Amino acid sequence: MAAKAKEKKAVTAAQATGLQKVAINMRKYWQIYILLIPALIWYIIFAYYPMAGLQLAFKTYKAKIGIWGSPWCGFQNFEAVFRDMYFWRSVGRTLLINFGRLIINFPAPILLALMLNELRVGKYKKVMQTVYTFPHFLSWVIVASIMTNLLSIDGLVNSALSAMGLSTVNFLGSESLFQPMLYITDIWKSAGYSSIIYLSAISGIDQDQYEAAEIDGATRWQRIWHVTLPNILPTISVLFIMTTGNLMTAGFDQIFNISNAATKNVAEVLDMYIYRITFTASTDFGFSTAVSLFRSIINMTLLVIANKGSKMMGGTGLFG
Amino acid sequence: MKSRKLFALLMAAMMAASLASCNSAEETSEPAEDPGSTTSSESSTPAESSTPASTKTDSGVLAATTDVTAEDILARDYSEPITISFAGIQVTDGLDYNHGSEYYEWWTETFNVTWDITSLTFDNWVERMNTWINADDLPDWSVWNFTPGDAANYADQGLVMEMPDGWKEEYPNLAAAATCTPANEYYENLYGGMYYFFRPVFANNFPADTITSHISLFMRTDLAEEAGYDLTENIETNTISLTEFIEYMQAIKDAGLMEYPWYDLSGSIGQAIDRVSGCAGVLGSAYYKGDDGMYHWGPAEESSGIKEALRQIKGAYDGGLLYPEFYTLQEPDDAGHFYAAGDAAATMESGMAAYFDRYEQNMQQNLGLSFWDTSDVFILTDDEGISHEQPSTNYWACNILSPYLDEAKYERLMSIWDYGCTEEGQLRIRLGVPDVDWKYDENGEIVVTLEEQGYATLEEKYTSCYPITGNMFILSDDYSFINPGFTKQARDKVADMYTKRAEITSSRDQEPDWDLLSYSSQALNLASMTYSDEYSNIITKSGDFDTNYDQWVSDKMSMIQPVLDELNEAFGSAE
Repeated sequence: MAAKAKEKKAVTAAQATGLQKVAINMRKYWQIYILLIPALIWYIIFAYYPMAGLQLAFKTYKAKIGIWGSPWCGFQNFEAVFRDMYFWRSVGRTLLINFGRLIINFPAPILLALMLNELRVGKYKKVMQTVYTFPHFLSWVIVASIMTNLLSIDGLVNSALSAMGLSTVNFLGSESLFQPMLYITDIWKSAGYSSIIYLSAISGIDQDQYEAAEIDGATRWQRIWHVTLPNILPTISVLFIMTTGNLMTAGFDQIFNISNAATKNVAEVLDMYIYRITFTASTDFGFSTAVSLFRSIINMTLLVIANKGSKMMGGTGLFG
Repeated sequence: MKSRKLFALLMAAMMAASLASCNSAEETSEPAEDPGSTTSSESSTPAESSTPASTKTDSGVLAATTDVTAEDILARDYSEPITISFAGIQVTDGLDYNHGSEYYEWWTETFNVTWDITSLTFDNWVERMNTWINADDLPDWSVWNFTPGDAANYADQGLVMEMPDGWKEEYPNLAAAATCTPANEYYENLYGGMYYFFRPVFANNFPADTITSHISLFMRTDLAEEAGYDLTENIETNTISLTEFIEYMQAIKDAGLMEYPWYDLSGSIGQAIDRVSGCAGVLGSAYYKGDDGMYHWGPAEESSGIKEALRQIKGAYDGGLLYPEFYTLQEPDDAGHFYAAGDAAATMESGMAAYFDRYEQNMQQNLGLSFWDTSDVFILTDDEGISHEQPSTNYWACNILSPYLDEAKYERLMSIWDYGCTEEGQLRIRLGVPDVDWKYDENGEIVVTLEEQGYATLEEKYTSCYPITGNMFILSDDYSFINPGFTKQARDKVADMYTKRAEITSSRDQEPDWDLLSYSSQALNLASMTYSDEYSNIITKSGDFDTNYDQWVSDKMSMIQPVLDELNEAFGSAE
């Protein structure tokens, strides 16, 4: 009788699909699911509940009666946003800068991780890793200040150029150099830190694969290409999808600190636009929320597309 | 010492007469002081450097009484200890504003109050104040950088406290001081109640019959002489046109004395353009009402002179007269090049006594030169000799109170403000502790004893005296004109410059355009921009200037035109 019941239960578990499967898993691994509760609460309080504030995009905010009580204004805020030529320009500029980041900056930590992994002297490897990771902990204010000292007309680089009899370059005030400067400083500051996740993925690769490749006569390049890269591809896919989901966010701190009056025309990305509208004029939370909501929707759409694309190409999606 | 007594006597007389000059309706057409006869000066505080340009001194005067004396205020019952939260800029983080200073303890002990202070910076001031107000979570007392669009909204929603009926009678000294800036009366009428206490820049000591901006051009006159450029007439009048200024720099460069004679920040370039163009910006904009009664946008009007001024400065930039990366300079980099590195011949700077003294001290220390022997200050004008600016509203930022302030806190705070506006209060704020930092001699004259104690200024002795009391309501600029802490030479220079500026300013006999100043709309928000950055961008742009400028104007007009349409519909009066 007991064996019959056990058989019935096993059949049910095997046949279960979707929610049923989740419920069965939850019953089976309930201790692990309990561990998830604090994180879940955090997300509900700090991520999902504040999303209710997005309704401000369709309201005229009245502080005294709060977000929920403020009167609806339909699509009035969006109409004002979409009518503004500078909004569309900032959207275009944000996408342009971020597509460039995707092509130039995204591979940088992967390459760095691969290079660091190839270092054979353990101590040297650790020193290098520390050196590359350190800039991540500097604020953009500091980085901008270092840049000014290095690249100004009487800075280190231009002084060196002058000493060599070469003409000086207006690095800080050139509109055409602004975008490359963003990429270079971003790589300098972030590549080391971002490479940690790839190094960790690399460290998880089964060493037998390398040994087998070595026995088969694979060169170092071939080992990287045929063993390391395929093994960290799932990590690359996930991070690529997440980066794509941030294409409408261009890094306010970096651009705010690096831009100046001479480069302002190429520096007004969406975040700078929101800042200008919000803090150099009267406060309009409805308008700002409308811009933010628009950005989030585009980001979400891009994320879903990238996720689907990754799966279609046989790669890994965000959810497996 | 004798001169100190004289200053002190003058100051006491001025203070006695001053509030009355603000009070009395009969005296409104007279300036509070004859700037020519004062030995005035200014201190260097952030408040001053941000002070807006000027207004006529006789505007906005309410009839009020000062029946309530300082003694009356001090005789009130303050037995219940009270803690008042305060948020403001210019507060030093970590400094104890309640204890450790005889100066400060008098206030906290007499009024039985403890300050709970939140320090704001210029960077986070606007953002944090707007966040707190919109969260309906204001500290008891805050200093707010007034913006008309938000102000109307906040008053309408009751997010800031409206003064109860009878406050002017209850606190007449404060009410009298409030009349020194026309903004208080204007916005009280506009919003149907007193929500914002606009803090007067000048209340007791007006530097001239028309208050003007103190921003001046600091220039090396010795280099002009060396380069063979004659500045004699300019030195006489302390004025220089933009054309002359560029010629002066060219002469210095041609003589090989400086690589880049002019070092200035992007913001200062904007101010230079304001001074020489016919539509100096109102609150950072460039809208103005023309003779046709309609509103215009300065950059789009040839007659405003903005384009020509920009063309001249662009020429100076391309010709290597202006530091090539001026847009990267941060205050006080520009001044440093003038008085420390010595590789700048000119820079725009606050024309205050403290700055003159600072330049003198730094030039002596770093260059072994005397500022007074080698340099002078000039008012930048257009080619007609006019220095352009908007009529001032004579205020800088405003005090606001939490709508949830209870009666006890309200009464205590208002009493403190009221006392601070009395003659006795002002003496205590500006001169320090009576019988310690200053005293009356046998002739009843004030004698300042700070120097005997080894201090040059009150701020040096009492680090914490600023800003809670110093800028409690009447700003410190007001007293600085007679502050004996600065050299006589510097004070005299400031007074002289104010007098000269008042004679050539375009704002003379002009009233502020309140319609424009108090206007707000979504279109205006969308058209907001930092004009000095826009101008700097045009200056640094390569290619044909006219093409770049016209392109910029046509580009901006898409967002400017809706604002002009709104303004003209509301306030335009086409003839």
